[in-house]
Amino acid sequence: MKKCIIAISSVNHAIRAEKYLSSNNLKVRIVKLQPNTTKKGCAYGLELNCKDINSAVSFLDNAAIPYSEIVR
Amino acid sequence: MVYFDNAATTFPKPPTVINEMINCMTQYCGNPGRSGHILSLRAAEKIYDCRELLSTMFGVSNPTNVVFTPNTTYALNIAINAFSKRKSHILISDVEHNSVYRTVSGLSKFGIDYDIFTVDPHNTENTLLSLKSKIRSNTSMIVCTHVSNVCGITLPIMEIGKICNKYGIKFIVDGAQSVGTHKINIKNCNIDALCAPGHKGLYGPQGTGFVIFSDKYSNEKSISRLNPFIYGGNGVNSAEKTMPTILPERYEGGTLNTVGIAGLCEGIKFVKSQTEDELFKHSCSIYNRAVEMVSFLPDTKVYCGDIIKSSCLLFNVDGLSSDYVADLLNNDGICVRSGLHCSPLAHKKLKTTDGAVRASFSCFNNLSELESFYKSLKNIVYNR
Repeated sequence: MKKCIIAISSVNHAIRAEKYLSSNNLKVRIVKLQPNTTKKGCAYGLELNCKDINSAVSFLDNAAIPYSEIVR
Repeated sequence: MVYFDNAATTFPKPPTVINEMINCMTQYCGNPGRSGHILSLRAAEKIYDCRELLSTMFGVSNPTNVVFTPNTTYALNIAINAFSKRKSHILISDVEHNSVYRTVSGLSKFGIDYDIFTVDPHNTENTLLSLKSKIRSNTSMIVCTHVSNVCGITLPIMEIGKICNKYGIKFIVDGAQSVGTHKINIKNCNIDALCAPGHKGLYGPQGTGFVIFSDKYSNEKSISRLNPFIYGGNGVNSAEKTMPTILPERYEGGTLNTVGIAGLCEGIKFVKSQTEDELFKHSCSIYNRAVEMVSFLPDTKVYCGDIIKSSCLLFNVDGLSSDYVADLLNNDGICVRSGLHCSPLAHKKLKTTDGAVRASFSCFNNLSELESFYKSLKNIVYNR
Protein backbone atom coordinates (compact mmCIF):
# COMPACT_ATOMS: atom_id res chain seq x y z
CA MET A 1 0.00 0.00 0.00
CA LYS A 2 1.47 3.35 -0.99
CA LYS A 3 2.11 5.71 1.93
CA CYS A 4 1.54 9.44 2.02
CA ILE A 5 2.47 11.98 4.66
CA ILE A 6 0.64 14.99 6.03
CA ALA A 7 3.24 17.41 7.34
CA ILE A 8 2.45 19.01 10.72
CA SER A 9 4.99 21.38 12.18
CA SER A 10 4.39 20.62 15.86
CA VAL A 11 4.57 17.28 17.64
CA ASN A 12 1.69 18.44 19.86
CA HIS A 13 -0.58 19.01 16.90
CA ALA A 14 0.65 15.76 15.36
CA ILE A 15 -0.37 13.86 18.51
CA ARG A 16 -3.69 15.68 18.57
CA ALA A 17 -4.24 14.78 14.92
CA GLU A 18 -3.24 11.16 15.49
CA LYS A 19 -5.73 10.83 18.36
CA TYR A 20 -8.48 12.50 16.42
CA LEU A 21 -7.97 10.46 13.26
CA SER A 22 -7.67 7.22 15.26
CA SER A 23 -10.98 7.98 16.93
CA ASN A 24 -12.38 8.24 13.41
CA ASN A 25 -10.91 4.86 12.43
CA LEU A 26 -8.06 6.24 10.35
CA LYS A 27 -4.76 4.57 11.12
CA VAL A 28 -1.79 6.94 11.09
CA ARG A 29 1.76 6.94 12.43
CA ILE A 30 3.76 9.94 13.63
CA VAL A 31 7.13 10.30 11.90
CA LYS A 32 9.84 12.96 12.02
CA LEU A 33 10.43 14.60 8.65
CA GLN A 34 13.70 15.61 7.05
CA PRO A 35 14.23 19.37 7.44
CA ASN A 36 14.03 19.89 3.68
CA THR A 37 10.68 18.13 3.39
CA THR A 38 8.80 21.34 4.19
CA LYS A 39 9.63 24.94 3.37
CA LYS A 40 9.79 25.99 7.02
CA GLY A 41 12.22 23.36 8.28
CA CYS A 42 11.77 20.82 11.08
CA ALA A 43 8.37 19.17 11.26
CA TYR A 44 6.57 15.96 12.02
CA GLY A 45 4.32 14.04 9.71
CA LEU A 46 1.37 11.73 9.83
CA GLU A 47 2.10 8.68 7.70
CA LEU A 48 -0.98 6.96 6.32
CA ASN A 49 -2.26 5.02 3.34
CA CYS A 50 -2.57 7.33 0.36
CA LYS A 51 -6.13 6.14 -0.22
CA ASP A 52 -7.10 7.70 3.13
CA ILE A 53 -5.50 11.07 2.53
CA ASN A 54 -8.63 12.94 1.44
CA SER A 55 -10.67 11.72 4.40
CA ALA A 56 -7.83 12.56 6.79
CA VAL A 57 -7.45 16.08 5.44
CA SER A 58 -11.17 16.59 5.68
CA PHE A 59 -11.15 15.49 9.34
CA LEU A 60 -8.21 17.78 10.13
CA ASP A 61 -9.94 20.73 8.48
CA ASN A 62 -13.10 20.09 10.46
CA ALA A 63 -11.18 19.93 13.72
CA ALA A 64 -9.07 23.00 12.79
CA ILE A 65 -5.86 21.06 13.32
CA PRO A 66 -3.12 22.90 11.43
CA TYR A 67 -1.03 21.05 8.82
CA SER A 68 1.34 22.49 6.30
CA GLU A 69 1.43 20.22 3.26
CA ILE A 70 0.89 16.76 1.86
CA VAL A 71 3.89 14.73 0.79
CA ARG A 72 3.03 11.97 -1.66
CA MET B 1 7.75 17.86 61.50
CA VAL B 2 4.59 19.83 60.78
CA TYR B 3 4.44 21.46 57.35
CA PHE B 4 2.09 24.46 57.23
CA ASP B 5 3.63 26.28 54.25
CA ASN B 6 1.47 24.78 51.54
CA ALA B 7 0.67 28.14 49.93
CA ALA B 8 4.37 28.31 48.97
CA THR B 9 4.44 24.73 47.72
CA THR B 10 2.53 21.69 48.84
CA PHE B 11 4.41 19.05 50.76
CA PRO B 12 4.37 16.10 50.80
CA LYS B 13 3.42 15.00 47.31
CA PRO B 14 1.27 11.95 46.57
CA PRO B 15 3.46 8.83 46.07
CA THR B 16 2.07 8.42 42.54
CA VAL B 17 3.70 11.76 41.61
CA ILE B 18 7.11 10.61 42.81
CA ASN B 19 6.77 7.17 41.23
CA GLU B 20 5.87 8.61 37.84
CA MET B 21 8.83 10.98 37.95
CA ILE B 22 11.14 8.05 38.66
CA ASN B 23 9.45 6.08 35.89
CA CYS B 24 9.96 8.98 33.49
CA MET B 25 13.62 9.44 34.43
CA THR B 26 14.36 5.75 34.00
CA GLN B 27 12.06 4.77 31.13
CA TYR B 28 11.12 7.52 28.70
CA CYS B 29 12.79 10.87 29.35
CA GLY B 30 13.69 11.80 25.78
CA ASN B 31 13.51 15.39 24.53
CA PRO B 32 9.89 15.97 23.46
CA GLY B 33 9.21 17.46 20.04
CA ARG B 34 12.75 17.18 18.79
CA SER B 35 13.21 13.72 17.36
CA GLY B 36 11.34 10.81 15.83
CA HIS B 37 12.70 8.08 18.09
CA ILE B 38 10.61 6.28 20.64
CA LEU B 39 11.84 8.11 23.75
CA SER B 40 11.25 11.54 22.24
CA LEU B 41 7.76 10.55 21.13
CA ARG B 42 6.89 8.92 24.46
CA ALA B 43 7.96 12.07 26.30
CA ALA B 44 5.88 14.19 23.93
CA GLU B 45 2.87 11.91 24.43
CA LYS B 46 3.14 12.16 28.23
CA ILE B 47 3.28 15.94 27.99
CA TYR B 48 0.31 15.95 25.65
CA ASP B 49 -1.60 13.78 28.17
CA CYS B 50 -0.98 16.49 30.76
CA ARG B 51 -2.21 19.18 28.36
CA GLU B 52 -5.39 17.15 27.89
CA LEU B 53 -5.93 16.77 31.64
CA LEU B 54 -5.49 20.50 32.20
CA SER B 55 -7.63 21.63 29.28
CA THR B 56 -10.45 19.36 30.46
CA MET B 57 -10.08 20.51 34.05
CA PHE B 58 -10.37 24.20 33.13
CA GLY B 59 -12.94 24.02 30.35
CA VAL B 60 -10.85 24.54 27.24
CA SER B 61 -11.49 22.28 24.26
CA ASN B 62 -8.05 22.52 22.68
CA PRO B 63 -5.21 20.84 24.65
CA THR B 64 -2.60 22.69 22.60
CA ASN B 65 -3.73 25.92 24.26
CA VAL B 66 -1.95 24.72 27.42
CA VAL B 67 1.53 26.26 27.53
CA PHE B 68 3.93 24.84 30.10
CA THR B 69 6.14 27.16 32.11
CA PRO B 70 8.51 26.74 35.08
CA ASN B 71 6.04 28.45 37.46
CA THR B 72 3.14 30.91 37.74
CA THR B 73 5.38 33.98 37.52
CA TYR B 74 6.66 32.93 34.09
CA ALA B 75 3.09 32.15 33.05
CA LEU B 76 1.91 35.61 34.11
CA ASN B 77 4.83 37.29 32.36
CA ILE B 78 3.95 35.43 29.17
CA ALA B 79 0.23 36.23 29.37
CA ILE B 80 0.58 39.89 30.37
CA ASN B 81 3.15 40.53 27.66
CA ALA B 82 1.12 38.57 25.10
CA PHE B 83 -1.79 40.99 25.39
CA SER B 84 0.19 44.21 26.01
CA LYS B 85 -0.41 47.14 23.73
CA ARG B 86 1.59 50.38 23.71
CA LYS B 87 -0.06 53.32 25.47
CA SER B 88 -2.77 51.11 26.89
CA HIS B 89 -4.04 50.83 30.46
CA ILE B 90 -4.15 47.84 32.80
CA LEU B 91 -6.15 47.25 35.97
CA ILE B 92 -4.93 45.09 38.84
CA SER B 93 -6.32 44.50 42.32
CA ASP B 94 -4.96 45.71 45.64
CA VAL B 95 -4.07 42.18 46.77
CA GLU B 96 -1.79 41.21 43.89
CA HIS B 97 1.38 39.21 44.26
CA ASN B 98 4.58 40.73 42.86
CA SER B 99 4.28 38.33 39.93
CA VAL B 100 1.51 40.62 38.71
CA TYR B 101 2.46 43.92 40.37
CA ARG B 102 6.08 43.98 39.20
CA THR B 103 5.26 42.62 35.74
CA VAL B 104 2.64 45.29 35.12
CA SER B 105 4.81 48.04 36.66
CA GLY B 106 7.65 46.99 34.35
CA LEU B 107 5.54 47.80 31.31
CA SER B 108 5.58 51.53 32.08
CA LYS B 109 8.64 51.90 29.81
CA PHE B 110 6.33 51.08 26.90
CA GLY B 111 3.90 53.80 27.92
CA ILE B 112 1.56 51.30 29.53
CA ASP B 113 -0.13 52.70 32.58
CA TYR B 114 -1.91 50.83 35.36
CA ASP B 115 -4.38 51.45 38.18
CA ILE B 116 -5.26 49.44 41.26
CA PHE B 117 -8.87 48.65 42.15
CA THR B 118 -9.98 47.95 45.72
CA VAL B 119 -11.21 44.54 46.76
CA ASP B 120 -13.90 44.44 49.44
CA PRO B 121 -13.60 40.92 50.88
CA HIS B 122 -17.17 41.08 52.19
CA ASN B 123 -18.98 42.86 49.38
CA THR B 124 -18.64 41.84 45.76
CA GLU B 125 -20.63 44.86 44.56
CA ASN B 126 -18.16 47.25 46.16
CA THR B 127 -15.28 45.42 44.48
CA LEU B 128 -16.98 45.64 41.10
CA LEU B 129 -17.85 49.30 41.60
CA SER B 130 -14.23 50.12 42.34
CA LEU B 131 -13.11 48.17 39.28
CA LYS B 132 -15.66 49.77 36.96
CA SER B 133 -14.81 53.27 38.21
CA LYS B 134 -11.23 52.79 37.04
CA ILE B 135 -11.93 51.51 33.53
CA ARG B 136 -10.71 53.95 30.87
CA SER B 137 -11.26 54.08 27.14
CA ASN B 138 -7.78 52.58 26.65
CA THR B 139 -8.06 49.87 29.34
CA SER B 140 -6.94 46.76 27.52
CA MET B 141 -6.45 44.25 30.30
CA ILE B 142 -7.53 43.28 33.81
CA VAL B 143 -5.11 41.06 35.68
CA CYS B 144 -6.05 39.73 39.07
CA THR B 145 -5.52 36.91 41.45
CA HIS B 146 -8.37 34.51 42.14
CA VAL B 147 -7.43 33.91 45.79
CA SER B 148 -4.89 36.00 47.70
CA ASN B 149 -1.69 34.23 48.72
CA VAL B 150 -1.68 36.15 52.00
CA CYS B 151 -5.08 35.31 53.43
CA GLY B 152 -8.41 34.02 52.22
CA ILE B 153 -9.55 37.01 50.19
CA THR B 154 -11.24 35.66 47.05
CA LEU B 155 -12.01 37.76 44.01
CA PRO B 156 -15.29 37.41 42.04
CA ILE B 157 -13.71 36.26 38.79
CA MET B 158 -17.01 35.27 37.22
CA GLU B 159 -18.38 38.81 37.65
CA ILE B 160 -15.10 40.45 36.62
CA GLY B 161 -15.12 38.27 33.50
CA LYS B 162 -18.57 39.56 32.61
CA ILE B 163 -17.34 43.14 32.86
CA CYS B 164 -14.33 42.31 30.68
CA ASN B 165 -16.63 40.77 28.11
CA LYS B 166 -18.90 43.83 28.12
CA TYR B 167 -16.02 46.30 27.66
CA GLY B 168 -13.88 44.17 25.32
CA ILE B 169 -11.07 43.91 27.87
CA LYS B 170 -8.66 40.96 28.08
CA PHE B 171 -8.88 39.06 31.36
CA ILE B 172 -5.91 37.30 32.94
CA VAL B 173 -6.37 35.32 36.15
CA ASP B 174 -3.61 34.35 38.57
CA GLY B 175 -4.75 30.98 39.89
CA ALA B 176 -1.69 30.36 42.05
CA GLN B 177 -3.71 29.78 45.20
CA SER B 178 -6.93 28.46 43.72
CA VAL B 179 -6.26 25.74 41.15
CA GLY B 180 -6.85 22.36 42.72
CA THR B 181 -9.22 23.71 45.35
CA HIS B 182 -11.57 25.92 43.33
CA LYS B 183 -13.30 24.89 40.14
CA ILE B 184 -12.49 27.32 37.34
CA ASN B 185 -14.06 27.28 33.90
CA ILE B 186 -12.14 29.53 31.53
CA LYS B 187 -15.02 29.86 29.08
CA ASN B 188 -17.72 30.56 31.67
CA CYS B 189 -15.56 33.15 33.43
CA ASN B 190 -14.59 34.77 30.12
CA ILE B 191 -10.91 34.36 30.98
CA ASP B 192 -8.43 34.95 28.18
CA ALA B 193 -5.50 33.38 30.03
CA LEU B 194 -5.34 31.40 33.26
CA CYS B 195 -1.91 31.25 34.89
CA ALA B 196 -1.14 28.71 37.60
CA PRO B 197 1.48 26.53 39.27
CA GLY B 198 1.72 22.77 39.09
CA HIS B 199 3.40 22.48 42.47
CA LYS B 200 0.74 23.89 44.79
CA GLY B 201 -2.90 22.81 44.69
CA LEU B 202 -2.26 20.31 41.90
CA TYR B 203 0.41 18.50 43.97
CA GLY B 204 2.94 18.31 41.16
CA PRO B 205 6.66 19.00 41.57
CA GLN B 206 8.33 22.41 41.70
CA GLY B 207 9.44 23.72 38.31
CA THR B 208 6.00 23.22 36.81
CA GLY B 209 3.43 25.84 35.89
CA PHE B 210 1.27 26.76 32.94
CA VAL B 211 -0.76 29.34 31.14
CA ILE B 212 -3.93 28.21 29.43
CA PHE B 213 -5.21 30.44 26.65
CA SER B 214 -8.93 30.33 25.99
CA ASP B 215 -10.34 28.72 22.87
CA LYS B 216 -10.52 32.21 21.35
CA TYR B 217 -6.83 31.67 20.53
CA SER B 218 -7.03 28.54 18.45
CA ASN B 219 -6.22 29.73 14.96
CA GLU B 220 -3.14 31.24 13.38
CA LYS B 221 -4.70 34.66 12.93
CA SER B 222 -5.62 35.13 16.60
CA ILE B 223 -2.38 33.58 17.87
CA SER B 224 -0.21 35.73 15.61
CA ARG B 225 -1.61 38.79 17.43
CA LEU B 226 -0.19 37.55 20.75
CA ASN B 227 3.22 39.11 21.39
CA PRO B 228 5.97 36.49 21.65
CA PHE B 229 7.91 36.50 24.91
CA ILE B 230 10.41 33.63 25.01
CA TYR B 231 12.54 33.14 21.91
CA GLY B 232 14.40 30.02 20.90
CA GLY B 233 14.19 26.56 19.47
CA ASN B 234 11.33 24.14 19.96
CA GLY B 235 11.59 21.81 16.99
CA VAL B 236 8.95 23.68 14.98
CA ASN B 237 9.63 25.53 11.70
CA SER B 238 13.35 25.65 12.49
CA ALA B 239 14.27 27.34 9.21
CA GLU B 240 12.38 30.48 10.24
CA LYS B 241 13.76 33.21 12.47
CA THR B 242 10.47 34.03 14.17
CA MET B 243 8.52 32.10 16.78
CA PRO B 244 5.70 29.94 15.38
CA THR B 245 2.16 31.28 15.18
CA ILE B 246 0.71 28.18 16.80
CA LEU B 247 0.21 27.29 20.44
CA PRO B 248 1.81 26.02 22.57
CA GLU B 249 5.07 26.51 20.66
CA ARG B 250 4.73 30.28 20.37
CA TYR B 251 5.65 30.36 24.06
CA GLU B 252 7.57 27.14 24.60
CA GLY B 253 11.19 27.84 23.69
CA GLY B 254 13.80 25.36 24.87
CA THR B 255 13.47 21.93 26.39
CA LEU B 256 10.43 21.34 28.57
CA ASN B 257 10.52 19.91 32.09
CA THR B 258 9.36 16.45 31.02
CA VAL B 259 10.01 14.85 34.42
CA GLY B 260 8.12 17.58 36.23
CA ILE B 261 5.20 17.48 33.83
CA ALA B 262 5.04 13.68 34.13
CA GLY B 263 4.75 14.15 37.90
CA LEU B 264 2.18 16.89 37.43
CA CYS B 265 0.03 14.48 35.40
CA GLU B 266 -0.27 12.28 38.46
CA GLY B 267 -0.87 15.26 40.74
CA ILE B 268 -3.83 16.30 38.60
CA LYS B 269 -5.20 12.75 38.66
CA PHE B 270 -4.85 12.77 42.44
CA VAL B 271 -6.84 16.03 42.71
CA LYS B 272 -9.51 14.74 40.34
CA SER B 273 -9.83 11.51 42.31
CA GLN B 274 -10.38 13.47 45.55
CA THR B 275 -12.29 16.35 43.89
CA GLU B 276 -11.46 20.02 44.37
CA ASP B 277 -14.45 20.57 46.64
CA GLU B 278 -13.41 17.86 49.10
CA LEU B 279 -9.79 19.00 49.16
CA PHE B 280 -10.83 22.57 49.89
CA LYS B 281 -13.34 21.46 52.48
CA HIS B 282 -10.58 19.63 54.34
CA SER B 283 -8.21 22.63 54.30
CA CYS B 284 -11.04 24.93 55.38
CA SER B 285 -11.89 22.71 58.34
CA ILE B 286 -8.31 22.93 59.62
CA TYR B 287 -8.19 26.66 58.91
CA ASN B 288 -11.44 27.33 60.79
CA ARG B 289 -10.20 25.42 63.81
CA ALA B 290 -6.88 27.27 63.58
CA VAL B 291 -8.67 30.63 63.58
CA GLU B 292 -10.56 29.62 66.73
CA MET B 293 -7.43 28.45 68.50
CA VAL B 294 -5.13 31.34 67.62
CA SER B 295 -7.84 33.95 68.28
CA PHE B 296 -8.17 32.47 71.76
CA LEU B 297 -4.55 33.35 72.59
CA PRO B 298 -3.91 36.75 74.22
CA ASP B 299 -2.05 39.49 72.37
CA THR B 300 -2.41 37.65 69.11
CA LYS B 301 -4.12 39.12 66.07
CA VAL B 302 -5.64 37.04 63.30
CA TYR B 303 -6.22 38.84 60.00
CA CYS B 304 -9.20 38.07 57.75
CA GLY B 305 -10.36 35.54 60.33
CA ASP B 306 -13.96 36.33 59.48
CA ILE B 307 -13.45 34.76 56.07
CA ILE B 308 -14.80 31.25 56.51
CA LYS B 309 -13.57 29.58 53.35
CA SER B 310 -9.80 29.70 53.30
CA SER B 311 -6.73 27.55 53.71
CA CYS B 312 -4.42 30.38 54.82
CA LEU B 313 -4.21 31.65 58.40
CA LEU B 314 -2.49 35.02 58.82
CA PHE B 315 -1.55 36.29 62.26
CA ASN B 316 0.89 38.25 64.40
CA VAL B 317 1.93 38.14 68.04
CA ASP B 318 2.20 41.52 69.79
CA GLY B 319 5.77 42.59 70.42
CA LEU B 320 7.35 39.90 68.24
CA SER B 321 8.36 40.14 64.60
CA SER B 322 6.79 37.63 62.24
CA ASP B 323 10.26 36.31 61.37
CA TYR B 324 11.03 35.68 65.03
CA VAL B 325 7.75 33.84 65.58
CA ALA B 326 8.40 31.72 62.49
CA ASP B 327 11.93 30.95 63.76
CA LEU B 328 10.61 29.86 67.14
CA LEU B 329 7.97 27.66 65.50
CA ASN B 330 10.67 26.19 63.29
CA ASN B 331 12.64 25.28 66.43
CA ASP B 332 9.66 23.11 67.33
CA GLY B 333 9.61 21.55 63.86
CA ILE B 334 6.76 23.64 62.53
CA CYS B 335 7.16 25.17 59.06
CA VAL B 336 5.31 28.42 58.37
CA ARG B 337 6.15 31.49 56.31
CA SER B 338 6.75 34.98 57.66
CA GLY B 339 7.28 38.42 56.10
CA LEU B 340 5.46 39.98 53.18
CA HIS B 341 4.88 36.82 51.12
CA CYS B 342 5.95 38.69 47.94
CA SER B 343 2.70 40.62 48.23
CA PRO B 344 3.36 44.12 49.55
CA LEU B 345 0.05 45.35 48.14
CA ALA B 346 -1.97 42.87 50.20
CA HIS B 347 0.01 43.65 53.35
CA LYS B 348 -0.50 47.36 52.80
CA LYS B 349 -4.22 46.73 52.57
CA LEU B 350 -4.19 44.66 55.77
CA LYS B 351 -1.93 47.19 57.52
CA THR B 352 0.70 44.55 58.11
CA THR B 353 3.58 46.19 56.28
CA ASP B 354 6.01 44.85 58.89
CA GLY B 355 4.95 41.37 57.87
CA ALA B 356 2.88 38.59 59.38
CA VAL B 357 2.99 34.85 59.93
CA ARG B 358 1.17 32.63 57.47
CA ALA B 359 0.15 29.05 58.15
CA SER B 360 -1.30 27.38 55.07
CA PHE B 361 -2.87 23.95 54.89
CA SER B 362 -3.20 21.09 52.42
CA CYS B 363 -5.11 17.84 52.23
CA PHE B 364 -2.27 16.06 54.02
CA ASN B 365 -2.57 18.14 57.21
CA ASN B 366 -4.64 17.03 60.18
CA LEU B 367 -5.97 18.33 63.49
CA SER B 368 -3.26 16.55 65.46
CA GLU B 369 -0.65 18.66 63.63
CA LEU B 370 -2.72 21.72 64.42
CA GLU B 371 -2.59 20.81 68.12
CA SER B 372 1.24 20.69 67.92
CA PHE B 373 1.26 24.08 66.21
CA TYR B 374 -1.06 25.55 68.84
CA LYS B 375 1.01 24.16 71.71
CA SER B 376 4.17 25.68 70.27
CA LEU B 377 2.54 29.04 69.54
CA LYS B 378 1.00 29.12 73.01
CA ASN B 379 4.46 28.69 74.54
CA ILE B 380 5.78 31.52 72.38
CA VAL B 381 2.94 33.84 73.42
CA TYR B 382 3.17 33.10 77.14
CA ASN B 383 6.98 33.12 77.33
CA ARG B 384 7.66 36.36 75.47
